[in-house]
Amino acid sequence: MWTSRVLRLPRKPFSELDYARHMPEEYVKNVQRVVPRKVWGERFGAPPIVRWMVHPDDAVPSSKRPWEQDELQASLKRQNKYHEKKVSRKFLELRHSQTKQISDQDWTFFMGDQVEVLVGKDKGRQGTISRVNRATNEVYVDQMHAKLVTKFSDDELKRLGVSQTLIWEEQPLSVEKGQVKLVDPNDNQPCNASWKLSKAGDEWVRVSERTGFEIPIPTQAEMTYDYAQAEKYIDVEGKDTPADEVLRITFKPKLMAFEEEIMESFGIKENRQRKPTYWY
Amino acid sequence: MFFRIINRIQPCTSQQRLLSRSPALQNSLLQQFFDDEENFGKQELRAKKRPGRSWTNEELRLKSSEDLHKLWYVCLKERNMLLTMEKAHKATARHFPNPERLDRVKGTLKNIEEVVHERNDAYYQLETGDSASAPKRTVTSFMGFTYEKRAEEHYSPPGEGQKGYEVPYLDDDAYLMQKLWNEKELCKERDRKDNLARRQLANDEMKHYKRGGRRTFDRLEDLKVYQ
Repeated sequence: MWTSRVLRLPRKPFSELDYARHMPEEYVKNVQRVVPRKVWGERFGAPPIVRWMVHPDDAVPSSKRPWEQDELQASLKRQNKYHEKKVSRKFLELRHSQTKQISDQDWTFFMGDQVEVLVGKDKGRQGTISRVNRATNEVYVDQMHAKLVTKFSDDELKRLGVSQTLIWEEQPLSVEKGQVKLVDPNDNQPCNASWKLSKAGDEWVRVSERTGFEIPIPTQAEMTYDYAQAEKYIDVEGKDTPADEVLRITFKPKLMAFEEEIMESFGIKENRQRKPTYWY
Repeated sequence: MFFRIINRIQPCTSQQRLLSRSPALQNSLLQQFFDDEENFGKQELRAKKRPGRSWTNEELRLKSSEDLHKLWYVCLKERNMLLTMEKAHKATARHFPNPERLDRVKGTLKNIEEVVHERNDAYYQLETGDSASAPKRTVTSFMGFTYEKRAEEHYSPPGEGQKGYEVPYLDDDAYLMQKLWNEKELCKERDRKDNLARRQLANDEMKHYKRGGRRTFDRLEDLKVYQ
């Protein structure tokens, strides 16, 4: 009953649109190294003692994705430092992340959105969001707010014998600090947006607070690590189960335990009686 | 034999050819322990070669018990394959491409267990009134902690002192232990609050010059940070 009632509620796009939507939580924790190194449990009721790889308070959200190579290296470095200090019984100040992720309901920026940059040398120019980082409340705007960087140090360039090459690298723009604003499609002016239930009450829409006009969500916002668009996802041969096969209902309720049902399907007959056991 | 083959995994194509010619990979049964040869030594798999997300509980609830049983073994084989590949890549100090595949398969396995448990639980609740999960008992340990403990199954009834119980009044040792424990926890909490206040007080300049916090206060309002 509760499930059907919940299913009838309007779906919330703001809690579904996420690039890392299908990344397993354990995997993300593992690449951030926020996993226990050792747990001393079974302490006769006293809470377990946990030695972390990287202490959860020390995991600071970064502008890169946690599974990217650079970020992984940084996490491993921090992990070693933490362990080193622990072993030599020295004090290591944990970084205690200062940024607090904006809640789903209050977050209105998605990939492919038209935004206006309000700071820096591109102040007043409009562009599309190329990447969103929810953990740090930052967005990257396509070809805006970029700086010239070189990927190699001088020593490396000398060693390789190549001349220096500079590339433009986009810098993050903070939503929290109001460095970007969404563009209202009605008058092409920057605006604050918020999520509202539509008049029919069956859909959450993003509206401009100034004019009340709807700002439609671009299709690019659907993009995750696995696909650009959910409908255009191609099943991997021999690995993925096709969607219609997944949704085919084969469940038939039987008054049997799972094990008994499997035994029946394999034709295994068991006549022996179970002896009583004691739980303590 | 296994290790010799595994050690040959290298990103260059000549090595790939070497591997494919090895008898182990021509054997179709043994081949199931290995990934597709195209994926060997890649930094990241192409989108076409990257399997999707794990099964959710909602999807698994649609499936019959036989289907779940089959799916369990399909996923178990996939997990074994991935573990083989992970070990092979680690042994040769290579980057194992897309390690999240392993977590996805493990997620499916966990979800299947959950759904099977749900079904068994419903059946046993209906038939016997007991849950399918192992019973829990509240016991008091010799240190005076009262906690939930998962009961274990035994063939014989409990002997003298084998079964733990919840004790309303602690003996002298346990009582003292609890007193000291609570005192220590209180001190820890006080220190934690102190540290939090100091962190809130510290600005960038203080961090840069490694300067401590304020020591003297003229007004009571300033002291509030420390309370």
